[in-house]
Amino acid sequence: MTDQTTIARPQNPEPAAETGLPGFARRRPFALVMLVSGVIGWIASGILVLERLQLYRDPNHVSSCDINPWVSCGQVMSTWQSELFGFPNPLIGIVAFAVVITTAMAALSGAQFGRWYWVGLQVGVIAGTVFVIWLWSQALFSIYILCLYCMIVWAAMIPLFILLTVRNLVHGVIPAPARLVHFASDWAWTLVAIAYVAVAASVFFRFFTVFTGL
Amino acid sequence: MSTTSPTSGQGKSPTAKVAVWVVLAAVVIAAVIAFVAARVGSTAAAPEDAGQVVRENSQVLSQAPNEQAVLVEFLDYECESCRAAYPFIEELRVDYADTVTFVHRYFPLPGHRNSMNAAVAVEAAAQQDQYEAMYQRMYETQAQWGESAEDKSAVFRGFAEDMGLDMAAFDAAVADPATQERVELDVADGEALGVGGTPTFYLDGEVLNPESLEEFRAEVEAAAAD
Repeated sequence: MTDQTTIARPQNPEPAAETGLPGFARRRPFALVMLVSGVIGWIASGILVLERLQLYRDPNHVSSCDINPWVSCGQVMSTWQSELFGFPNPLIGIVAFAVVITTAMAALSGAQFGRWYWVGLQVGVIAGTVFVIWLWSQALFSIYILCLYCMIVWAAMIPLFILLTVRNLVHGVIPAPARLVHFASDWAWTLVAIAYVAVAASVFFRFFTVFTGL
Repeated sequence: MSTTSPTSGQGKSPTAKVAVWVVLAAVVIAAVIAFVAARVGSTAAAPEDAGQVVRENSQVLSQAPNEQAVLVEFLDYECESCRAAYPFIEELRVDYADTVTFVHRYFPLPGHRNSMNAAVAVEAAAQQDQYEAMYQRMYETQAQWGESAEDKSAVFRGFAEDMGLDMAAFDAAVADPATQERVELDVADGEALGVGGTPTFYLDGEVLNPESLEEFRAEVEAAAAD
């Protein structure tokens, strides 16, 4: 009897309370959102760390994303912005995205987190997003060189930030008026798409002459 | 409560949301079309044989009478590291005047507002055989006009006036698209060669990336000696 109940539980992990939620805010789908964005961000950060190490060993190393003077990780890595805290930025990525992946895996295995845990994750993801926005602005308006793997990290942070925030609104982790919560859960994916198009447009306009060879 | 709000939302939101997605899709499609159109329009820019370290029309800064080696520099007049390398290169140019030929290739980086303006001005001066004077002027005054967000073409025109150039010819050269195309030919070579920044040096066709000025000098010395 007891065996049967413990086996039966994980097969039906969606509690009745989750049925009213938007799809991605449910436990398993949201764990997958975290897993996918975490893994993509982690791999991109990992490649950047490896390329940075190669560059320490051999200053002439041509990194795998040195395509031309305007799309080059190696060039970006030589700027002070790439080591804002005195060590290469992607080291933050491999630590922080690992937390996201771990959280996703724990959630997939059925873990339930306390409200304070979600608040902590939200604070961490906001900090990461602020950092990435700063890096985006530096790459476009100060350094004027694109780094492909850095852009993959931007791409991972967009859904992670928006969907985590909406998930926390929906679950009441972040207190907000019902109208706002409803709007956010209804528009979450659209906001993600808007963010992607806006970032792509910013790169497009800033680098238009470079891409087209005009 | 929870059942009424989604249904009331469904009445309004989907249309608004569909409109937003349609706009987003339109923006993406417009960008792709603009990109392809611009690409097609500029296919003539890069020559088929791009990727040559030196061309017939490259700026030969000084021709060595007993040429043993050729040092080519891809440079940007607004780039600070090029400015930093400038006195050192001039020193080498004096010390190896007899054996090393020095060649300059334009490589204006788009990150600088006036890189292309400066290169065009220098090329216009070069057409009146004043390449050397103009490029030196650019580096010596870089601190005054570099890193600016404004068009400094007027400043460069002032340099030409000071140097006593034929201003009608200078203005015509600056305005002539062929002048910028001449600069872009160098850029196309640099890009095809994989020049990743400025200054990039080629010594006898091989990229030269020394760790120090001493090593740089030693490499030039060795090339000049053989």
